[in-house]
Formats: sequence, C-alpha cells, structure tokens
Amino acid sequence: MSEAEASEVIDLYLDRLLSPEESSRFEARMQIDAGLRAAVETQRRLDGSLRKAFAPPTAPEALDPVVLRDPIAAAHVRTTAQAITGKAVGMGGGTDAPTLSISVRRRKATLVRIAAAIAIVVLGGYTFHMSRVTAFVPVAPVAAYEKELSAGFRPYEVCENDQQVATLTTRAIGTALSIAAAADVHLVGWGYKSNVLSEDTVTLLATAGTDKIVIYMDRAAADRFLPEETDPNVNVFRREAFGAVFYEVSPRDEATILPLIQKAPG
Amino acid sequence: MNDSQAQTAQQRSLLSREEFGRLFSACRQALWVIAAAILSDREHASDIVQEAAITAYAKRDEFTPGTSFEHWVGQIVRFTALNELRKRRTRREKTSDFAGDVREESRPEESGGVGRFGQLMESTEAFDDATKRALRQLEEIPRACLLLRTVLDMPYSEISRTLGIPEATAMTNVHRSRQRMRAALSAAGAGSSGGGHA
Repeated sequence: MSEAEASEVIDLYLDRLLSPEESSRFEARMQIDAGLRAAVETQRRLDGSLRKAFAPPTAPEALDPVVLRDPIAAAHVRTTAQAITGKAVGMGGGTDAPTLSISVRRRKATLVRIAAAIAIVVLGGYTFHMSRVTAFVPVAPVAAYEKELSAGFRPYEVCENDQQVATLTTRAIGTALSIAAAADVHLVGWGYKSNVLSEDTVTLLATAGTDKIVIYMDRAAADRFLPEETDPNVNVFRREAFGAVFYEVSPRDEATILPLIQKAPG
Repeated sequence: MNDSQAQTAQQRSLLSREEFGRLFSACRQALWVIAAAILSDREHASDIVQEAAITAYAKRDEFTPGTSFEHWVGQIVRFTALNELRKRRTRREKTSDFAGDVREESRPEESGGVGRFGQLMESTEAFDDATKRALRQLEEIPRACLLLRTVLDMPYSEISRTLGIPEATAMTNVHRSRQRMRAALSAAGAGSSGGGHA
C-alpha cells in the first residue's frame, strides 16, 4: 500500500466509511505496521484537538434578541471589543521576530501606554454601553399578556378622544395613529414598560365582547424574533405598518384590533 | 413583470419571521463552525454569526423557499467572516512591526531555549497549539470542510449543501486537509513517533 493509499484508507477508516470486512483488515494491518498505527493515532489526536478547540457554544448565542433588536449596538459592541483587544483575537502565529533596537522599544513602550490609556477610556464607554444594552430583558408577548390579566387589566393612561391617541402614539412610536371604531370593541387604555419589543413598547388594552385583548406596539426598527408561543388559549398576531410594528395577543382566532389601526388623519 | 418573475416574487415573500428563526436556529452550529473556520478562531465566531443573522434577516425576502436555507445563510456567514478577515489583514499590515514582534517575543518555548516544538509537543497544550497553527495553513473552504466534518461529524452530503460545493470536492477537501495537517504535525515532531504514512 502506497502512502497516498494508506492516507486515504486512514480517512475512510476514521470516517467509518469502510465495510466491516475492510475495517477488520485495516485493523489487522495496523497491528503489524507501526507507521500506520502512528498515523491513525496522530489523526485521532488531531481530531480530538480540533473538537476541543472548535466545539460550538451550546447556548444559543446567535439570535440574541437584544442584539437583534439593535443591530447598530451589535456592530458597536463588536467593534469596541476589537478596539479593546487592539486586534482580532486569533491563533497568533506570524513571521519571525527581528531583534528590536532600544529606540524602537521605547517608541513602542510609549505606544503601549497610549494604547492602554485609549483602552481604559474605551473600556469605560464599553462598560457603560453594555450596561445600557443588557439592562433590557425582553418579555414574551403571551407572558406580558398574562401579566396584564393578573394585574387586573388596568391601564396606566386613558385617552378620551382620537386627538389624545394621536398625540400618545406620536410621542411613543413617532407616528400619529387612530383606532377605528367597531362594534363590541372597547379601548380600555394604554400602558408602558411591557418590554415585549423594547423598553419603549407601548401597550394598548382593549376588549372585544368579553375577550380581553392586548396590543403591543413599537417602532419597526425595534422588532425582534419572538419565541414560539406555547399557550393554546391565546394567539399572537403581527402587523407592520406606518413605520411601526404591532402584536395583538388575544384569545380569538383572528386579529380584532390590528385591522382597526390606521394613520390619524391630518 | 412576467409570470415566472411574479411566481418567484410570491415564493420569496413566503418566508415568515418565525420560519426564518426556526431555520436559522436549526443550522446555527454549522454556521458557527463555518465562521470559526474562516476566522481560524472561536472568539469572534459568535459575533460573525450574529452579524450574519442580522444581514440575513434584513434580506430574508431574497431567500427562495424550497432552496437550501443552510447554503443561503452559509454564504452570508462566509462573506461576513471573509470581510472580517480582510479587515484584520489590513489592521495587521498597518501594525505588523509592533504586534507581530511582541507576539513572537513572548513565546515560551523560544525564550526557554527549547526547540520550537521539541519536547513540549508531548504536552497536550503544545499539541493543540501546533494543531491550530497547522489549521491556519489551510485555505478557508477546506478548513471549513474539515471542521464541519470533524467537529460536527457532518455527512459529506450536508457539507456539500451547506457550503454549496460538490460532495466529491467536500471529501477531497477534508482528505487533503487531514493529510496536510498530519504532515505539518509530523514535520514539527508533534505526531506519534514512527509515523510513516502521513
């Protein structure tokens, strides 16, 4: 067996692509061929080393809702992290190092001090930024809905007319909205701090007949992935319009309030 | 717009946000490995996947249902990682005198007068280090093939689908990468003694 053939068979053997008979023959050959045995051992050790070094994180780091909520923050966090390390973290390596003269060393020592000072400033900003980013803990719509129910379905603020609704929505999501009238539908009032999409998500409590319905609305840019709902008694509906995104949580099979949301006239 | 364009546009609009999230989560590990393979490090792989998720999500209407989501999003991860690599190379070129020298100066095996690998290769740490150095010598795609196969035990058909390359190419990439790494480790004295088949 040539070296090239042996190399190929080693891979097939370790990939478990040899038939049982071929595997047996290969193992028998390994018993008498120290070189083959060593090559297999090296490959096994190498595979183990790669698995250890590149085992993917088990926690779902990707799709972090906070970062997805704010792509600019994500990019900033990443850039800042690189600025702190001074380089992209890798495997090292590089070219052979020439001997440094004293003057070059001094200049570099000064550079190190400057870099350290910059790093401290950046680290401070980064820490401050991270404290802002991580302060937000997203809440699933159904969990927020159930919290509203258990809190008595009471609003924080009540709008008396369309003008007040337009003012509130302009202030909260940047767009003046109104809710069209419909039979059986009653707007109970508004709330905040649900943390469904962001810290600025606005809550609208409404009833349709005896059903209690909650709308969560925010700027479209604040939209994020929402976990799949597991409560069979409530449904979540989504609508995106007027630069905003709306989620209706309701015991009904169809969205009731979402179709009624419209841009305020004027 | 003709019928086929209209049909394509209609198909593309079918990928819902929930479906996107589900599909992305299903191949997250493979995407992470691709990012780690291209960057040759694990520290920033999650950042790359995150960034690619944002990009893919923004462009999700460009995905055609029925085609391979893994390949589509894998391409985005690849390009994102390659962009990052290019930025690093630019940075390294700008600071090569300084950063490179400091790294080399701090190598314990060299300062201790022991050969670059020598006896230290017997230790797991030195072997791991040598493995990473050998891995860095590979091209990005073969490196991704090797890691997908080794780390995730991914079948060649799936590697082919994820990276958008023929299955035979995936197999060849893995085989040659292993060969090159074994050769590099043997040359460095890291492999088991007496290896004559690497």
